[in-house]
Amino acid sequence: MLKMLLALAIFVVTYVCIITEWINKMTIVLLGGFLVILCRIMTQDKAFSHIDWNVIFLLIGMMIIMGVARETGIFQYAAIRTAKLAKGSPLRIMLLMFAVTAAISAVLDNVTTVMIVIPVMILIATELGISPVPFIITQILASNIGGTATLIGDPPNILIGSAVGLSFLDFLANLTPVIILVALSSIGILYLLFRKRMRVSNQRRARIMEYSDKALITNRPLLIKSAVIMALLLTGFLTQELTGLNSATIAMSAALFLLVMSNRKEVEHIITQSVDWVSLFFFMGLFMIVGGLKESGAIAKAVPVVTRATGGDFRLASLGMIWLSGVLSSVVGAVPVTATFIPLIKGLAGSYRVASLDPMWWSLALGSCLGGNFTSLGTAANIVSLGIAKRNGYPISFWRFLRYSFLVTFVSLVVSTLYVGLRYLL
Amino acid sequence: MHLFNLLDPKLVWFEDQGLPRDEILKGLIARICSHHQLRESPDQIFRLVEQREKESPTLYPTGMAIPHVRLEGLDDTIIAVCVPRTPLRDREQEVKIYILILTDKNVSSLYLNTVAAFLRISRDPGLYSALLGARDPHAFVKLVREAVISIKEEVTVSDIMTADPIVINENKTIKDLAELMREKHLYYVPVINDQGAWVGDVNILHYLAAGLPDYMKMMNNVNFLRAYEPFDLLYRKEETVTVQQVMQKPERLVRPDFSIIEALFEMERQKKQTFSVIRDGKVVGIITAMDIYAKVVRA
Repeated sequence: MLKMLLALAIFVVTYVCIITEWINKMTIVLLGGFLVILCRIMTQDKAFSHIDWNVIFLLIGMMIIMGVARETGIFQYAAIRTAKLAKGSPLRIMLLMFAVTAAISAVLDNVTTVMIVIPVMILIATELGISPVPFIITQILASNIGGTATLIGDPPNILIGSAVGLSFLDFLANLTPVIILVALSSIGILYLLFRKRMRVSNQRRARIMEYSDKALITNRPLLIKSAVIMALLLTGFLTQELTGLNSATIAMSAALFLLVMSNRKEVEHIITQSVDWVSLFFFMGLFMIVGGLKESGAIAKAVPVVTRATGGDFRLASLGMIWLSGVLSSVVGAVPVTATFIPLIKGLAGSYRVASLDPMWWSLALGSCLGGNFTSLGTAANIVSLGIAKRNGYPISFWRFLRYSFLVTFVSLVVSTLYVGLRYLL
Repeated sequence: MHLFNLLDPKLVWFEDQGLPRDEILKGLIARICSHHQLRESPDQIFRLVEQREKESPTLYPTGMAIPHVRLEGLDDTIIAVCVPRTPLRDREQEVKIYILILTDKNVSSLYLNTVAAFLRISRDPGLYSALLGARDPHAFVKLVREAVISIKEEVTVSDIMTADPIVINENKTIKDLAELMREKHLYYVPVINDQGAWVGDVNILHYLAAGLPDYMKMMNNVNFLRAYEPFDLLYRKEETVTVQQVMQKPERLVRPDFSIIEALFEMERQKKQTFSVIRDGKVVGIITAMDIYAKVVRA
């Protein structure tokens, strides 16, 4: 009982610190992880066994691939090319870039994606002589929505996929369709919200058309290598059910092959610069804290509470999960919410008379990923993007962001609810 | 180490025939050669001294001339002194004393410190005139011994820095900065606040970079921008952006009592060629990597 209270206390204090950011998030979470051991809630071996190494190495692998791929200049090329394809029309640029950013985020890390596209968007808006704010907001929303589509797009999906054993193909079959719907509805809303502010002169439009995209691919041999590796990576993920290989093995092999093929001198640079060790330590600490909750019996205690709260109704529980995780992740962050809900949902297995908990997992993925769009603080991508905007003289306040994000996110969650309800729970 | 230990009365010469400069130098070299076994002939040494003088003259405003030469494998420091009884004109300047120093090619700090010690003498009017008026070589050396002139073992930043540099107030605009730099041919300006305390440094890149928008700094490259006019932004900003907004502060400071190796260490570590030299929060000089090269390595 004492252990359980201690584990809960560590959990609550850590999560309060994550929300308030009184202390550096990574430091407090990792400290919490080791406090679990210090307080004898579990042994070090046990605590370490709760770290999902499949998640950690999958993340490292994807970070390395992203680090190499961005050196090629392909992402900036894609952005400039899109602007030209849109014939310099701001509204068309905004909506096409929504699709491009969503697609990049579906395969690669959201923070890195926005760090590449947002500067280009500010440049284009400045050149067009209009406010970059609609472009920035659109890109943030697109990045979070796109990331929800695949197993590797967003950390919550990586966590769920690894913990539950759902494959890349499972995510593609179950989440990608709904994300396409969510993206279409969001594009529609953004069109209605912003269409009136997008008037620019032909002269300014011509400046965008004069961008020369020929030299943007800075390293063509590396681009070809990256493309080959990406193709192999996707093949690896798509054939996961046949080969039985775990996601981390696929991602790490692809990443390491890419490193072997690229310039030897850059390897250390990529390992130190592109691998986000702070986030990785954050994950490790989180796994240990949540592991403490499980080992101390706190999760088991919470299961009947949840079952009772939903009146034993699986449909209500699944659909409620979309909204609960959506709201919570906008406050605490998607990763801590998902990490906490995973053992809880696993514990629910016997409580409802259903063949599969899968709908609940899709609800958790949709809620926690899309919920990040609710507020300007919802995900790291939001914070980074708004930071860039502010540094360039376009501060976007919490309330201003909310004016657009709330509607888009609300509709996203409604679409998700309808999808999960109609597809799995009829 | 005391300066008098490097002095030999046999190499101190009071010249009263009114010989010209070249003859004085040759006379000093001849005295050295008659007491020391040197590889080079007196003529060779004279040519080396002249060559070195051409690169940078060693005449000091106090009337002291300290010509010197570095010899391969000398492994010693030899000093010969000549006091002409009547000061003579040497390159538009009155010279009261010639001090010829021969050092080893590989030792630089002892030479610099010896020069510094003689210069200290020349800044002490009582001692300086007593030496110039000494009866004979022995009296000369005795005076130096009694004055206890010590040679610093180590050259410090304050010995080679450019003292009292031109500074700029942090509240000035970057336009003021650029104009000051162009007018005075500066490439590095320490920044001070209203109280005169040092707060940072600026160079011309800090000024130019104000024309580069922050978002552009995040891009992989900007080679697609053909017609972009970054300096529109600069012209708009240069009268409102203050020096304080663009200046930089090094991670760690260089102080005047730093040894040369300490200064070099900081330059290399911070990948920065120029530093403000700070004592008690105030800037007292500027030191550059070139100072170390020109005044120590190739001194």
